[in-house]
Amino acid sequence: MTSMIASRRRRRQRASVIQHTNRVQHRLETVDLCSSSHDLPSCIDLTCEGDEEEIVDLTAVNDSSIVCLGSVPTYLQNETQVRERNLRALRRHRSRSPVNTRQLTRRPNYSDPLPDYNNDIQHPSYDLGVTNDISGGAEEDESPPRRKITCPVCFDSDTAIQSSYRQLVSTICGHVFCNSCIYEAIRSNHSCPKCRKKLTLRQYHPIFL
Amino acid sequence: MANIAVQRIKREFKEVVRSEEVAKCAIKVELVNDNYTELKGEISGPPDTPYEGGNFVLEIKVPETYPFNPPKVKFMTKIWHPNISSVTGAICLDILKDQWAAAMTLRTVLLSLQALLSAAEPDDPQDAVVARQFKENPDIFWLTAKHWSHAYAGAPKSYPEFDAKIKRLVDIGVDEHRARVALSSYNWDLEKATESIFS
Ligand SMILES: [Zn+2]
Ligand SMILES: [Zn+2]
Repeated sequence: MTSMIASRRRRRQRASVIQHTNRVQHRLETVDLCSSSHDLPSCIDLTCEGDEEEIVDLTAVNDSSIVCLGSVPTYLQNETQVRERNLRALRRHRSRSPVNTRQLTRRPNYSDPLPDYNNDIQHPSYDLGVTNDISGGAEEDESPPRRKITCPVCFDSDTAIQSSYRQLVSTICGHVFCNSCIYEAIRSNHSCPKCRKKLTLRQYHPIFL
Repeated sequence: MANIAVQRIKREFKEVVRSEEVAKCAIKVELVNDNYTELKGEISGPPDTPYEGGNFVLEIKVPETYPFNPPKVKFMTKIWHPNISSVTGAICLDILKDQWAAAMTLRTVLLSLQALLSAAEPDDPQDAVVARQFKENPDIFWLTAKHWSHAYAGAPKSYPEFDAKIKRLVDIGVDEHRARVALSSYNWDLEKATESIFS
């Protein structure tokens, strides 16, 4: 009696083992089908390593969406920086004559890793209200594109700010304004007009570009 | 008005007019007077909301202290929404109050309002009646908001059943808007709405 039960159990176990192997074989067959890609013309081999030239950098065409193909260092993954990178490439491509030294101003080099102090504070963005004016023109073909900085509160450009005896300043959260706007904003709202970080009148300083 | 306020509004006006949202007819802004203290805004009801197909007009008043204080904005078009008063059009939105920042613009305000139409916050209501309906009777809320969009904002779809109930009250001398408010507030229960009007 007991031996019958035992043999039945064994049989059941064997059956389940067979079922199991069937399933495994089934799965293996599927894998096998897929690996023979020459049989399936619709299969696209994504592992194939293409030439550098074949990679199309979509970020250069549309700067509103970033598509990073290949590995980009983390410090370059900011939209402004990626745009800056593309613009530099564009600039190299466009300018045939040597750089006009008169036009050279000290500007941040975004390809360099950001200094450590930038990592101390949580930045929501590096939006400095910076726009690059690359609209065509004979003169601009011979010089680097003009970097325009505007105060995001009064919308005045850096040249307008300078000519009215104001100064560009940066807050400790890294946002740039003209001195009269940030003064007024901190006095009335006690916070950064861009990211709303709490600020006092001592927490901004002039910047020299 | 302070010089910076006028200058900012002038420049923002250009920014909004040139923006891609205007090209898509999603937002619009017009001058009401020459000294830039009052503007008329317009937003289209976002898709997949009961406001879809409607155009909502906003009154925008620019304070002397702009942009250090937010513009005063309210809906001129009547709307059924938990965060907007169905009576006055007053809006409950943080960026128009304590969460305003001077770098925000008319464009960001209009886009935020459009986002508010897509995502109501019933726990921070401006209109308690609407907010309660939104939470307790979401289906009736949806139909009511859609009905209001049709009645006041030019949205295409109408509800014959609601129209018939309003007509019943109008026929006994009730003002149409008052009838709509009463019926909307009582989940389209004709008896309760009538009672509320005549009590
Ligand atoms: Zn300024
Ligand atoms: Zn900031």
